[in-house]
Amino acid sequence: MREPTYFILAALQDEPLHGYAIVKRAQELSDGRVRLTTGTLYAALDRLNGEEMVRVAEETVVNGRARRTYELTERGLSALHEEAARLIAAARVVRDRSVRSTAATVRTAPA
Amino acid sequence: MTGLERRYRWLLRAYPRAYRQYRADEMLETLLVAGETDRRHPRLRESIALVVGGLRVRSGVAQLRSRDALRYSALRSTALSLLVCGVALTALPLTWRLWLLLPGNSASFLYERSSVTPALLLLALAAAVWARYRLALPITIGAFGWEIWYSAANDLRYAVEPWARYDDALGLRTGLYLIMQISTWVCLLALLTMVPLLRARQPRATRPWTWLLGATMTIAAITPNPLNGWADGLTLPVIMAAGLVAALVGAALDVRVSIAASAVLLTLMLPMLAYQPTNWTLYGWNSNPRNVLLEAVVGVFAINVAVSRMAARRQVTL
Repeated sequence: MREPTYFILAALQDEPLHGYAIVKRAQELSDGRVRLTTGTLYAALDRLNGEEMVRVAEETVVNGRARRTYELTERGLSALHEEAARLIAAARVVRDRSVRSTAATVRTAPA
Repeated sequence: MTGLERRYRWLLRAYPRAYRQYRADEMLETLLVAGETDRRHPRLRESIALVVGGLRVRSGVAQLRSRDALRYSALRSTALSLLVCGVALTALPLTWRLWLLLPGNSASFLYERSSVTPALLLLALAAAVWARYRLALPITIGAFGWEIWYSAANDLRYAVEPWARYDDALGLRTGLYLIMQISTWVCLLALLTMVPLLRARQPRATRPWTWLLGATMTIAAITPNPLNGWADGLTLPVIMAAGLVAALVGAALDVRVSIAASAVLLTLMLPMLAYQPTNWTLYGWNSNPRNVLLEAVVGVFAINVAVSRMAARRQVTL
C-alpha cells in the first residue's frame, strides 16, 4: 500500500469525512509529509471505492455543489490494520537490532 | 463565477464527460476550499495532478484494479501495436497498388515485395481489435507462413549480402534471411502476446475503431507512400522518437504505452542484431549510421523496459 492511500484510510478511521477534510486530516496525521492534491485524492478514492475499502456515507449540497462524505468499510479497516502491522513488524527489525547492538556495546565497553 | 473557479473548471475538462457529471462539482468544491481565497490562478502542482488524473481516467488505466487486469490489457495493447507496426512497415507494396487502382494515378516504380503479408496482418489486426484472438492467431500464423514461402520461392536469401557466402544447407540461408526481417519478428511476437489472451476472459472490446484509425494514420505518417511523398522513409528515427515519448507517457500516465513501445522497439532491434554481427566481423565496428541507429534503438528500448518495470509496480499498487 502506498503512503497516500495509507493516510487516506487512516484519516477515515475515526469518522466519515468529505474530500477537503480528508486532505487536511491526512496532512496532520503524517506530520505534513503527505500533501494530497485534489486529483490524487479522488483517483485514490475511486480505487478504494472500487476495492470496497471506502464508501459514500452521505451526499449533501453545499454552495450549490455536491459534497460527498466518505467512510471506511470493514474491508478498508482490516486492510489498514494489516498495513499498520506490517509497518510495525518492519520497524521492529530495525529497533530490536539497534537495542541489541546498544546493549552489546555497553557489555563490551571497558570498565 | 470567479476567475479561479473558471480556470479549475477548464482544467477539469481533462476528465471524460461522464466522470465530470458525477464528480466535477465535488472536486471543484474541494479545490476551492483548499485553494487560498486571494489566489487567482491554480497551483502548478494541483493543475498537473488534475490533468494527469483526467488523462488516466480517459485512458482507462485508472480502472485496472489488479495486476492480472493490467497484464491482459497490456498484452492486448502490445499485440495490437505490433500488428499496427507490422502493417505499417510492410504496407508499401499494398499502398502503392491501391494507389494505382485510383483513376488518373501512375507510378514510375513498384515495390517488389509481396502484398499478401500486409493484407493478412491487416485482417489479423481487424480480428484482434474486436478481441477475436481465435481468428487473429491463425491469420497471423498464415502471414508468417506466407513470408517463409515468399522468401524461399523468390530466392530472397541472396538479398542479404553478408550471409551470401554461406551454403544453402537445409534452408539455412532462407532462415537467416527471415530472422533479419521485421515482418518475421512482428508475426512471432504478436503470436506470443496473443496466446495468453486466448485463455483470458475477454471483456467487451472498447473503442475498436481507434486502433484501425491509428494504423491508417501511422501508415500515412511514417512510411514512404503516395500521400506524404517521401522517397525514403525516416521511419526508424520517427519510431525511436515515438519510443522516447512513450517512455514519458508510460511513466506518468499509462504503463501500457511503454510496454507496447518496448515490444515494437524489440521487433526493430532483433533484425538489426541478427544482421550486424556478421557485418562487424567482415568490416569491423565503426560509427556508420546503421551502427549508431542500432545503439540508439537499444538505448531507447532499455529506457522503455526500465520505465515499464517501475511504472507497472507504481500504477497497480493501491
